[in-house]
Amino acid sequence: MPHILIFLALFMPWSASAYPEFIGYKYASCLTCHFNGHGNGPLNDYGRALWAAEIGGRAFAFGRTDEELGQASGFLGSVQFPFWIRPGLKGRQLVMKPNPPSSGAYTRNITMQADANLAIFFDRNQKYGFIGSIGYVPEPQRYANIQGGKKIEEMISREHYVRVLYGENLWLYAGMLDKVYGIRHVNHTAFNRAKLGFGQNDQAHSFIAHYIQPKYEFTVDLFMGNLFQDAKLRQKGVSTLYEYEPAEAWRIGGSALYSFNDYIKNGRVGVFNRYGFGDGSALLGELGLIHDDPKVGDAKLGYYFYGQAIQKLYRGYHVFVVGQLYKDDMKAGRPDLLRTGAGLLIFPASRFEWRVELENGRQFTDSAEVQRESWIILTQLHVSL
Amino acid sequence: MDYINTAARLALILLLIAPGAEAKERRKKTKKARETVVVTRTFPIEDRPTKRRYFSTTGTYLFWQEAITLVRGSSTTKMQTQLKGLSIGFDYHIPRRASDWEKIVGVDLSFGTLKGKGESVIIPDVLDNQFWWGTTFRAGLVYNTTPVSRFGVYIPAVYRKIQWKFNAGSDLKAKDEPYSFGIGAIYQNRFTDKLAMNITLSHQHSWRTSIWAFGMNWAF
Repeated sequence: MPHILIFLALFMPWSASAYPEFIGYKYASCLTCHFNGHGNGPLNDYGRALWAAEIGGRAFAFGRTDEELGQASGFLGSVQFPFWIRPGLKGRQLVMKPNPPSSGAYTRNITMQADANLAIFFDRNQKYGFIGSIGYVPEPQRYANIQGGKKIEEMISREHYVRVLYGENLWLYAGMLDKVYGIRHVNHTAFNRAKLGFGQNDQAHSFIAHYIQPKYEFTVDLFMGNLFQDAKLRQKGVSTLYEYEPAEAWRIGGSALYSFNDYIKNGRVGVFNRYGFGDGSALLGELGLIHDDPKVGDAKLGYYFYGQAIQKLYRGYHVFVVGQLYKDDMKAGRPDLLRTGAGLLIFPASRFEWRVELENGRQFTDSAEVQRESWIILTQLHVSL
Repeated sequence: MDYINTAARLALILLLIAPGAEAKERRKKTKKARETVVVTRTFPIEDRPTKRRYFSTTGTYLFWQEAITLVRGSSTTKMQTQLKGLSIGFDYHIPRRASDWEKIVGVDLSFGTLKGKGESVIIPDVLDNQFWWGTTFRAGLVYNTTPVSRFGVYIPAVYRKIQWKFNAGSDLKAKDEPYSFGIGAIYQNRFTDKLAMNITLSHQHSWRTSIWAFGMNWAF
């Protein structure tokens, strides 16, 4: 099981549903659209309506007004569920082709997400609730090919937690959910997610306190690792995030994390910026340090950077560019890894998302030797009911 | 050229981390009255300050890789080369009336270094920070997606000069083609009326390579 989690963390991109770039639409806080105040997981009623009436395009609108589209954005369209239950389904399919169009390049088709989620509330104001997602994770081919190997669990809990609103501004979460750190966006293979230990299935059993004011948010996350994992592998620790809003559609912040298990101690610290402008355009940037101190071997101090610029071309249609840097150890001879990419982010209609990205990877070193650059085309269809 | 590399990366990081001047202005307004912050989401086309024709200049950091073939005697080997450099460009902008489209023509002067090492043990030859320079003519069309951002395509035609002098005396198997043309995409975010960030990706047909460029643009 731990190997599967590591594999998924490394090779499964674009798995979560968090869109920090929507600060370009003047939606700065994840809590506006998600049950989870830090993004990811199922959408709340407002998030569904927003996708239908503002973010998504008008394909399949058939003449309906935006208001009518918003009202029809529920799990069963216009059918109103009782206040205490909100079901949902999510599916994501990824197709990736390395080094196109060279001969011999193989195309991979990966089911990244096939989730059923359910939110149950114990009061009409949704102050007290339970949110859970069960996901199907197909066994990776390289494990399936091992004769007599241990059967891999294909149904897992993506998240399950209790959410309580204490007073007016303090949200408390207890259960298994994503660790809180930095900018949480959809690309889990990005350097500021995968290299820091925030992969698709790196959730931890946690207690989270999230304090929200109109101009700032502050979070403390105490986690004890994934209790479904081997106890020796569980990363236990604490993380924190602070985000301040100097002006509308502009947020700056910082994050820090310390965790440990029987084999390694991890420290991360970073600063970030989210800057929205125009209508649907935004700049994101995160810069930080990574400190890994294994029980055996030397400690490493590296850095990472993630930058993204996105522009709305037309309602539901966006173009974006991404630049990422990473160095595992800031010592002479170690390469700087650079990833650059450009693509389209399209929400043709409510419930549908289509992404396509061309990504280029290369290394910078002090020596004359040059590693071959890599190119990959990634395309993903996301359906959310 | 390491200092150029380092400076360029730091500049890119600062660009994306640092707030824009527009945001600073908005912060001042927010202090007065948060609800009266002026946002540009419904900025009418006829009021946009891009009606007149104008010039701009761009400073850019660019990099790419090329695979070449070396020959020594009867032996050949592949070599991956990595090219980095700086570019200074001048553009002439022709906005179309009552439209979000703008035509651009421009020229660039570029220079930098390249390096590489033969992949075969038979010809482990090295290119060590060799100088290159080039000039580019560009013509393109951009679309103003918002009053402060734009996206477009252009056609670059390039001439370049590289010595291709290998440390151990190998030669290029095929003569380097100094001329190339291709197609590129440009992405621009404006921080102020004058200052903007440029990101471009262009594919060069003759050299079979794709060139990334990150730069700052100043409008006169």
